[in-house]
Amino acid sequence: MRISTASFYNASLIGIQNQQSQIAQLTRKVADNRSYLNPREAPIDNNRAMELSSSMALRKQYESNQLKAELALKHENVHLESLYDSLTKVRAAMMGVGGSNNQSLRDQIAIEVANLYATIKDLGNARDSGGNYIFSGYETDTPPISHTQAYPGAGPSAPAVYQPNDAGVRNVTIENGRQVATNDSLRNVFQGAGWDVLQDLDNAAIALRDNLASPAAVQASLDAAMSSVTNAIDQLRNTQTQVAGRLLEIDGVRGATKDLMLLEQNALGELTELDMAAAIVELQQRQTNLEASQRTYALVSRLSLFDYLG
Amino acid sequence: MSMNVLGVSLTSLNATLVGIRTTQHNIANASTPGYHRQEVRQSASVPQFLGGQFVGTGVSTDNVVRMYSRFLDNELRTYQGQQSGREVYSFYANQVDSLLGDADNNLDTSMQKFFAAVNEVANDPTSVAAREQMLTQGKNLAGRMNLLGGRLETLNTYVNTEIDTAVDQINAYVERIAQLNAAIGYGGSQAQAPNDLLDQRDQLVSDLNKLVNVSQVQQSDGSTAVFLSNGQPLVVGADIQKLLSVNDSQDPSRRSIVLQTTSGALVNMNLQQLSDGRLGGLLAFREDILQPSLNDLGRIAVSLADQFNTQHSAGFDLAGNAGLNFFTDANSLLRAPIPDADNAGTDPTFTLTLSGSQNLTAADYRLRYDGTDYSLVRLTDNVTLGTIPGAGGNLTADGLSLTIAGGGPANGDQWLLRPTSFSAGDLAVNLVSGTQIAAAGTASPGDNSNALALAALQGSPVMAGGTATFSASYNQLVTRNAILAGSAETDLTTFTNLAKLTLDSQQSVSGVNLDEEAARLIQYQQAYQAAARAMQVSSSLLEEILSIR
Repeated sequence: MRISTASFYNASLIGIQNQQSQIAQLTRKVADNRSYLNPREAPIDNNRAMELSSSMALRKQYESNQLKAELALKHENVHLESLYDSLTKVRAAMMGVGGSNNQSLRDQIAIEVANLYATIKDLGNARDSGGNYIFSGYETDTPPISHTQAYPGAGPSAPAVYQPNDAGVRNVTIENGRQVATNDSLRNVFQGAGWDVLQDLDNAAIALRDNLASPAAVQASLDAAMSSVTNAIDQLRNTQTQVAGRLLEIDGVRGATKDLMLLEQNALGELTELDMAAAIVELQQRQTNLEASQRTYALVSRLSLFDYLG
Repeated sequence: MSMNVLGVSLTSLNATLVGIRTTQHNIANASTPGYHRQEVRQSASVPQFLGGQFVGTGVSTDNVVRMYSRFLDNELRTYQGQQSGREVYSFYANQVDSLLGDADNNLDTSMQKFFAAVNEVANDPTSVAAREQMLTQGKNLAGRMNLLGGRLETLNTYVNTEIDTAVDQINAYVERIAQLNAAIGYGGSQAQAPNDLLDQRDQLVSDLNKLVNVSQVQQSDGSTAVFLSNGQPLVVGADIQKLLSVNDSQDPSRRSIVLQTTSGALVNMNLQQLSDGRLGGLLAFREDILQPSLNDLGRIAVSLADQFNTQHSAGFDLAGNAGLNFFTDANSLLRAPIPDADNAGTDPTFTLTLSGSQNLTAADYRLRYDGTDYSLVRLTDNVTLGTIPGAGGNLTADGLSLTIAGGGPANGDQWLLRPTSFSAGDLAVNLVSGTQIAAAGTASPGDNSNALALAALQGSPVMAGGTATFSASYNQLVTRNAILAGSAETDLTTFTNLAKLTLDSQQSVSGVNLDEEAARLIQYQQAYQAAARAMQVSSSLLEEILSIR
């Protein structure tokens, strides 16, 4: 076939240009460790990859939410444990005194009960690191419990008052469609049908300190307070069991989230990451081809009949 | 007789000189675009009858012809035109693809960051830091949306400029083809064809065809007629018709092309009539990719604003006040119908609001008044969605509610409705402070129930008739463009290869081979030497006779 001089030169030139652009592309892929650089090179893979990254972003969010929920619940649990300790301590103190006539012992116990009363009330009004009342439901800026201590005055103590909106539950989304409560109300711990821990403890302390009160009257006050504390401990145990259950749930869900994320991470890698070995082999092949094209061009470009004329 | 002996050699010298000159011309034009190599056609001149025999009188140069294959030149021109169209289409499609589909930094990543911040507010509704972070991420998301919309709008202005330039070039080529037609007409009346003028004209037609698909018809007077693919002539003889680029009558932000006929009438040219070539590629990019992407991006912006605002307004902020719109009011993101520049009547008042953002589409619509009623047609499938009486009224379709009142439209008046085309550029955050974020479902600070509901929107199928999330809708947009850009790139490779192969074939006929020309030079040199030698011999013979005494 007849060939024009321009075609003759261009043939190897186009080869060189093609190889160079392919090598440039491949080098970028190797540098970025990506099997494709733009969606147009693999539209369907890219579609799946975008779905996977969206899903992974959500799972990362769930992981972070799980951590937040766990922290909040563990923080709550510390206060619940302290509350439990204080309640058992105050019950033990009251058991020790019985209906004793020893006024100095009664005075001592009265002070101990009064101190524990204050601790228990403070725990009910506990706050988190951000200054929010943790047992106050949605009214995080209002203390959940108000009770004016009558001890050591004459009494009798008034009932405790709860802010009305303390039943609000702050949920955290720990997985698609799954939420877990991160706070509880202590209303049913502190106050039940016919008993009121703070009022009863306050009254018991007043009775213990009252040296005119008959042993029977003191005993009646102590009995009422001990019954309240026992009820409170029972209720507290329920709440603690619920919190523990939620922590277990978070733990279980966390495992699933991690597993799914790993699966998706692997799938995403398969789709978007470069097969490095194959890429490097291809790169070497193309380099060899490029060198061959360049040498051919150098040789061919020296071939001209004009060199032999004259 | 003696002079004739010298004359024979003289014809040879002359013919050889023409040959050398043609070879020089070929060498000089070896890399001139559109040049067809030339060859000398020669023949033995008419013999003389002398002494009962025919005696040769030498050689005569008949013609200098160009090596030209109409078939190959036509094929080459066609493929180059298709290549040029796919080239510009692919160039712009790739820009949109890279813009929307960036692996690390696309709208979806901004959306993920925003919703992560919403989750943090849900986790800690009283945290001012979390609220400020959500506000910032909301602004980033709106900013990313603005950036993408703005970039697409910039591409539109580039396309407009390119259309203007292409039309100017087309007109310049058309003028020069007509001038060459005139010049060749005069040359064509002579016995010899003006090869170089023909080459120039063919090259101009080829260059023209790279801008817009044309067909060429050779006329008997040597001129060439050039037609657009719809049959409208651009050049006939020395007469021309020009193209004009004008603001589109339906959408003034787009340039469109009209043909100005010799009678002065303006004929609208659409994509079908301007297929292939750079112009066809530009129009196809605008229709296939640019406009749908703007509409679709806007659809996501409107849906996000509508869904998020609705949920946000259902809650209470940190101060216990009812929630405001988090983003710009979704209805204000919609664009009312644009009147056609050719409308004869007066526009009615249009009120366009959302009737349900889930049902929004990325389509363009046309509203038309037929003298009695307005009818609304969805342009992607030409479905008439409903009518509104001329006196005014309301129509609800495709998630939109259109109310028409007043005005005095003329029969045939029309309006283009691109409800979400500008929405991506207009989205913004409406709140000014993080404390305004309505995380609570009740007027209590520790209530996070509304923030949870807002966060849940991320995974809710609230678009495409309740089948797609925001993220999935964006993914669909990226994938659709990626498929178009990918196939354009494949087409471009195909047409580039076809054009290259055809160029090689065409060049095998018409291209200059310098070695061949070098061989010719040697051949002519030797012929010239031989003729001169023959002349010397006959001259010395004559002297022999004259020296006899």
